[in-house]
Amino acid sequence: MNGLFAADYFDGLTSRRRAVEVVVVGDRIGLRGSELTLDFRQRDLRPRPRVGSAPLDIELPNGGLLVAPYEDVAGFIPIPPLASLADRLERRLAVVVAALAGLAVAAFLVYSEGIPWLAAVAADRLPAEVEADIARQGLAFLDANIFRPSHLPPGRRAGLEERLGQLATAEGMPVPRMEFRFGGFIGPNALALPGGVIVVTDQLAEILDDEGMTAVLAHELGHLRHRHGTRRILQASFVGLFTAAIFGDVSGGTLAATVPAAFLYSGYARDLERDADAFAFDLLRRTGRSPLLLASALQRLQDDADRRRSRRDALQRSRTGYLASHPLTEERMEAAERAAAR
Amino acid sequence: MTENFAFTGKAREYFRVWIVNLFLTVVTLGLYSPWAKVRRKRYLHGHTWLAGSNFDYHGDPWAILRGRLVAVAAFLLYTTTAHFSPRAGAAVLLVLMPAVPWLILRSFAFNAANTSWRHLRFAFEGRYFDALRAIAPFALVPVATLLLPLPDQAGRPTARNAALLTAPGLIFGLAYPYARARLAMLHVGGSRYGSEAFHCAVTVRSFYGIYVKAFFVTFGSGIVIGVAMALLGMLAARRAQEPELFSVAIIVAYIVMLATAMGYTQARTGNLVMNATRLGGLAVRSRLSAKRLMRLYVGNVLAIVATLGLAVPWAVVRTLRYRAACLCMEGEGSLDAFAAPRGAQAVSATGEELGEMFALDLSL
Repeated sequence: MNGLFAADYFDGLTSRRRAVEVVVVGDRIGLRGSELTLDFRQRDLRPRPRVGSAPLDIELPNGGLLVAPYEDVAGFIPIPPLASLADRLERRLAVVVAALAGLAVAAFLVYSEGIPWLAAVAADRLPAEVEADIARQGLAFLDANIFRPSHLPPGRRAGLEERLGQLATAEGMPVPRMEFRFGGFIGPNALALPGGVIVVTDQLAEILDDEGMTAVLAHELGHLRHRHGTRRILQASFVGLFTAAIFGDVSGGTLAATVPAAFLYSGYARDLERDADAFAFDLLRRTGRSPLLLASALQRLQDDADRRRSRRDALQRSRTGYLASHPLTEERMEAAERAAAR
Repeated sequence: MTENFAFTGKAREYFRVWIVNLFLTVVTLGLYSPWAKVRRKRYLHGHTWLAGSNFDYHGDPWAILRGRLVAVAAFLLYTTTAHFSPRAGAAVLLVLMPAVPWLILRSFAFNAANTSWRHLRFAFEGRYFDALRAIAPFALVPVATLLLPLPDQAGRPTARNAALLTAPGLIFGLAYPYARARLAMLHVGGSRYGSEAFHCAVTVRSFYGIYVKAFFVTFGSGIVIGVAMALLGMLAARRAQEPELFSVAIIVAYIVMLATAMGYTQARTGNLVMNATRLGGLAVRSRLSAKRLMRLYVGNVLAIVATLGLAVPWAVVRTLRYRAACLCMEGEGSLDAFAAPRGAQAVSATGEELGEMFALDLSL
């Protein structure tokens, strides 16, 4: 097609901009400017992919560059379809909407299925020494910052250790080490540290009797059995990696992404708690107990928390203790009742 | 003459580029990400104008892919060791230290070599020693982590434990302005446009002045924002019986505070470095307002949080528009007279990608 349009020409040797008229005749193309006459074959031109509303750049066989508004060029110089594929996709509203919907689905799948799955696979391949090291460091940190030595009588401790031993043996797993501590501000609580350590606070053992403690220990054993602690660490790592990959190109973007991440962690935590509960219901039944044991233990903890709530600041209470790190008490009690009914 | 920079990108247009390429990246499990990066950078460069001509970006996606694969491997090695043992992580960092100056040089060089204006490329050349000198004080952080004894096991909040815990952070904070100053000098001073070298005359001392002031600005705003958000979060958490709302409020307060710190330091150091920069017979002028950049950044992070990230393109566009509007070239010289250098070399992307992975924020 024949035609005429205005463009900027750069020779690649200096930064001088020269205004030229571009004449298209058949398969030839000519550049006409002051003290400048150049002729090329059309098929030797290399247009760069178009992007947004920036002008089109066309690389010339002499090492020069021709720059002109896309609309002026489009009718005269054929643009290879592959070079403009990304651009054509970006311009189509349907593609943009589909990308948005696809990303929403993909993000949901990655965060709800992909990352937990990846973390579980990775946790199973982690050497035992590494896990033991996490437990050692975790306990050292808690001892330094939160815990104080336990005041629980040796007889009570031995009784609880024996019950943990029975549960672990029934499940056919090595008996975890049990540690007793005064819990400080984390109050009545139990923790399963990766690598086979269960920490019980004095406050918890004071509220619950041995049967109630057995239910809680079965739950914590579930965390160890399924390597929940290690999985949480790995999940945090993977969430960080994935989020950084998406928001890496904006200052502060990665930072801002920590807010949704905070919700994600608590979501993962709840999934793991349900998982540990299901394990506990099953184990309790196999050792001749009722899943309701866990429900009544939760009830006692709730009653105790309510009693103290009436005395002290409500928020302070609800933010600490076993119930805060193990949320959704009502839902868990209902699950126990369902498990018992089966 | 005075020539202003201008950014003509539009949020709606950039959103399309961003979302489509992000989607392609996700469905290819990340393999498309180098092409996405090139596409985004071409959009941003292509809509940045000076004296009637726009910039362009020429990074080769295959080179970026190779660099990214190396970077991902290194990052996984570091995060896994650091997560499981801070000391082992510190040891890995110490081993990687000698590679960091090289990484910085490569990253600067890759970006410069792939940026063009009026069909002439930028270039960067720097000496390993200068990059090493810029970041050497940071080596004290892992050294301190390794050598200092751990806090006492029965660690109560004693003065000794507090000192041991804060020492690495304190060293980092003291070294930071020095490193930023040296890196800025290295970056600008080592850059060329065509065959013309940039010259930059800033002092380390002036950077300390800015960061000391930034510390107090951040500290002041941090107290106000922190207290306000803590109260707000407590109220919301109590009303909704959702303890997480409290943590979210604290995180939001934290990022707003960081955004103000970033806005303040970037405006002040940006002006300082740019106004001390010359290219041939031309001087660079930068008139960023710290107040406006702080407001801009706070708006950005809040919008990004509220839209779960969808506001990222909008944030990028409005930031670049403001920054370009504050930048100009002036002087007796001409923008037409720069010439191409003799024989330019290709630069691998590994340094650039490693740098990005480890969040070396090297931009000015």
